[in-house]
Amino acid sequence: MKILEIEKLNMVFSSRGLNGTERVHVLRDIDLDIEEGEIMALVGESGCGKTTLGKIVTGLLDATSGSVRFEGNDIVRCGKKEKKEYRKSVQFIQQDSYAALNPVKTVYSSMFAPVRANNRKMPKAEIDRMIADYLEMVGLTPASLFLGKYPHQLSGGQRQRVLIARVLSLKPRLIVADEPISMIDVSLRLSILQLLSELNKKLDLTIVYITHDLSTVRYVVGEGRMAVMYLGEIVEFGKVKEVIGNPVHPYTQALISSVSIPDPVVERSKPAIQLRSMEVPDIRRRCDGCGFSDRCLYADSECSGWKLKNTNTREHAVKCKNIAAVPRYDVFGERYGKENHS
Amino acid sequence: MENENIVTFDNVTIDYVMKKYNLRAVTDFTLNIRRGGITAFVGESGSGKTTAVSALLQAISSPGKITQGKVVFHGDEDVDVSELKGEELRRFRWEQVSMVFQASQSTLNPLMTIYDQFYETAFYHGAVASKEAFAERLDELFDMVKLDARRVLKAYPHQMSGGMKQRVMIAFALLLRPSLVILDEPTTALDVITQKYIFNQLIEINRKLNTTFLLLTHDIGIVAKAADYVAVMYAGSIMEYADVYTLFGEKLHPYTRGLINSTPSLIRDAGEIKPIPGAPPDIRSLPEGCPFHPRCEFCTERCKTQKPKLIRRGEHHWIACHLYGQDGGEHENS
Repeated sequence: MKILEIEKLNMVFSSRGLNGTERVHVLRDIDLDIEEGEIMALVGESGCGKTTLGKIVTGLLDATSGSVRFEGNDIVRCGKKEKKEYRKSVQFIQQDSYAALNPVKTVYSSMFAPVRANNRKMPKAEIDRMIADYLEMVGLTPASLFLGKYPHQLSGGQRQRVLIARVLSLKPRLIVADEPISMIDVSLRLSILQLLSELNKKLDLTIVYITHDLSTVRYVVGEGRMAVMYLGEIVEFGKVKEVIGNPVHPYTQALISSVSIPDPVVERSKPAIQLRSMEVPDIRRRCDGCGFSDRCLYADSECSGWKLKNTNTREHAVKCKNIAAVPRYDVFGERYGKENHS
Repeated sequence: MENENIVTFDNVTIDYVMKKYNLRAVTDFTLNIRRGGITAFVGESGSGKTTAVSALLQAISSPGKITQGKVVFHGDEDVDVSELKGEELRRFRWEQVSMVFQASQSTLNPLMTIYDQFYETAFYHGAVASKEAFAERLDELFDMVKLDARRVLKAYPHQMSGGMKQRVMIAFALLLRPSLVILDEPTTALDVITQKYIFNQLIEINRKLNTTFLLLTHDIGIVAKAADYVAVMYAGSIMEYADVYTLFGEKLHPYTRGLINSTPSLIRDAGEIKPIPGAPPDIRSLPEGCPFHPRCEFCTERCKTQKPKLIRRGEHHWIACHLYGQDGGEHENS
């Protein structure tokens, strides 16, 4: 069953400056369905619009046009009661855990406020027990050790766990995790990713994992699906195995070939992908056709004016006019899907 | 004969001496950095890699100081870096050793054009023979980092993208033809594709100029891509030093193994990736013995009391771990 359906979503930011109003088109015709219980990855470089999309999904921003339906209800046009339910059911985990926690509140009071606000009649003892349960669920054991601590007394990984516990205490159906590990020590990152995929299985929680780090996708998403974004649109979509093992869009290929492999033998022998320009163009000066056309080796004169077709979000879908001209890049394809490669 | 090493860290200990406590950022650091090629210091934040390298430029931020040992730079003659003063020190910095700083995009002066910043530095180091020769040198430098000199030199920093500024900083570090360039996390905050591109250029420049690069990073993937020799640091100490193929091939030290095995990779299955248990050390209260022992799966009683020394295992392979001690039983690595 689909938990979230996004259709023809567009987002335009406008800002009034000295030279009149400037309009920036940051999301273009996004179509995306999220199945109940899946983890989906949203991958792209900075400025591609992945966080904006995440914020629209969680209702922190309203889209300029298009529709977002949560369990069949349009989240903009629904009634007050549905809206409240939706706000509870969809939660956002921030990138910067330090900024997301109030520095003068203890873990306990940070956890207490949202639970109290949503369970007016619950006795305090029960709330306390619930808070402790959630802290232990995310690996902060024993909970009593953490309840009285302030954010600065916790490590980055522990703060991120507190955020996850706080979000879980509202019993959400869908969580959007925006770069949850980018500010944590390297050796602790993996355990947070494992926690996310555990919670997905244990609580049947749907998760949208937003990241710029392709190598982490597989550990979170597993057999699930991923979307690759570039300058405001989804350029490739499909099962992780398909997209990374057999990338088709020239941008996806360039992105995958740029990810370093922690093995000098493999890293130094893989072929490089050529691009016409290394710089990501300014989204304000982006053409209306394919956004990648000015960097792509396979683009022809029509690409920049080519009106993108909506992708089919079920299978491996690619937004590229010249697919036939793009050579395959399946350097990791062979390794992919194989069990126990070492 | 020219010394095959360019820098020798001789038993260096660096302390931040404060009223309430003493913070030991680097402990008994002994290492020869080989001339030419790229040597990487890899470690998590707080492992002491930046502090150790600051000693090389006599740039440890106050109240830190070298409390033991010395850093020797093997230039035309051997120089004890901490003895340099005044004019000598000013010339040593940037003419012998230069540095590309972390987030160095913000080290450019926002009020000066790139040309003026390059000219100023070259002028005060007496490296401007004539305007024409200097212009030629700039062309050569910007050609190396694949930037259009005519366009970039006239620009102010805010007119360039992050990747361009980073390449300008690399050209800047090479301006006075130093024999050693320190690169402190040179690509953090840049996009993956730009990151890869900059590293390809760095490797090319390194091979062409035969300059020594010292790369500080926490990213194991970048080490695998660029480094020739690697020193793995943890809580201010070197855990292992080896050439990159030996390090990744043998994964001898439990911390090295943990670091490599905990790094997500495009081509490894989820089952092969294991996080390192426990939390990074608090350098205000380091444990007795080996600093890694609370997180180590092979920890023995000896590890808890006695700090392992860095001992030689192969021609370019040093390791600090009781598992591989001369007298202790050798651990079979499966």
